Amino acid sequence: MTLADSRIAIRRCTARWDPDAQVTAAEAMDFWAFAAGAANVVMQLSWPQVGYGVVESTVDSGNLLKHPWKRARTTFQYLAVAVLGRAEDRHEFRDAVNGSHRHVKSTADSPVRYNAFDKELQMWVAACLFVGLEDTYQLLRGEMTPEQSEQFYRSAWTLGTTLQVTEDQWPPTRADFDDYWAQACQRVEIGEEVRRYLGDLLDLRMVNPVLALPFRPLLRFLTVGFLAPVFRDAMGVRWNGFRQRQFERLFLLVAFVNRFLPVFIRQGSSYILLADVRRRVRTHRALV
Amino acid sequence: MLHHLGVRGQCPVDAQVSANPPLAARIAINIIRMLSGLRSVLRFEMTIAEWIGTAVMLAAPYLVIGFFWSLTHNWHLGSIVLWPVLLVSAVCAA
Repeated sequence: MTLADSRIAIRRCTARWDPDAQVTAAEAMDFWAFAAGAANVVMQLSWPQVGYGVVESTVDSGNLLKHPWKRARTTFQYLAVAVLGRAEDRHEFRDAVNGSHRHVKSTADSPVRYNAFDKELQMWVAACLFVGLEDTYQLLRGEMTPEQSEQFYRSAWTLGTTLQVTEDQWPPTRADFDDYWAQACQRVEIGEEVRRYLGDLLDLRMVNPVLALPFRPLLRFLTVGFLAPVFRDAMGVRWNGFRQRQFERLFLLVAFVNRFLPVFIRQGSSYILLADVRRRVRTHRALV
Repeated sequence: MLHHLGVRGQCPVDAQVSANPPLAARIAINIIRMLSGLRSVLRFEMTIAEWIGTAVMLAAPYLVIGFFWSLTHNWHLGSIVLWPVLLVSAVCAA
């Protein structure tokens, strides 16, 4: 498995305005980054243990197809807490997620054995989140220098350590992460049941059909665009040079517009979600 | 020192005081919080590009209102920009 198979290839990317600046994953939280959200779900679920863990989950309150808006809130809140939050926010959210994860384990009838507390599975999910943030960040702000890539990578470890992933589970350098990723992608395999679940997600079956109809083609386009070849093959979706050019042009335009948006517009939603987490903790309301 | 380290809650005496502080103390705490918030706002940095974007976002609805104002009143290019002045003078003249 090579990086060409496991990462998206961008031939035309916006220019970097600040090649000497320090960067962190917090800068990747611009709202456009959520365009890669569904692709990230596909990536995460492409490991059979994660895929069946989600599809067979008995925790209905966190089911994306049954409670899509709640699931969207809790997922984006997790990202906001992990990347922008303080240590105490992460501690509170970890406790809440642990409560849900306690119920997620395979049964005798499950096609694969899994447990939501499996650190290896959590590392894979965190790695998918990191890849998603890195891809969208580079599409919006331009390619990072090797030093910036290292800073960005190191600052993103909280994506995993907010739950049970330990710091020493993360490959020590960004180059080591590429090796981990190429190896991890060899385990990608999307079974029929998981593919059907992801198909329903991409068709927006969980949303009002009137609302879903105009967004379906855009979501599919963005999702397949954010998937590397190994995931596209596993999902059985097609992509070509014309669509790739459209995808790159779209993000050149988005990146241009994004330069002119102040941070309270670009990242305001994440800070509002973070404030909501703190309010829920203060008022003893459920986080997930 | 403990306050600076953000571990105030771990000190039982301090926690007892902060749980129900007297009115003067609460006012002082609120003023300090307000000043701290004001400092954060004044310290906020934006790039020139972000300033341009903010100006465009604020100007767009203003000019749209001005455009409709000039359509419904005596058409004049200046009224698209100066509609608030014209609005005030129209109200005063009525």
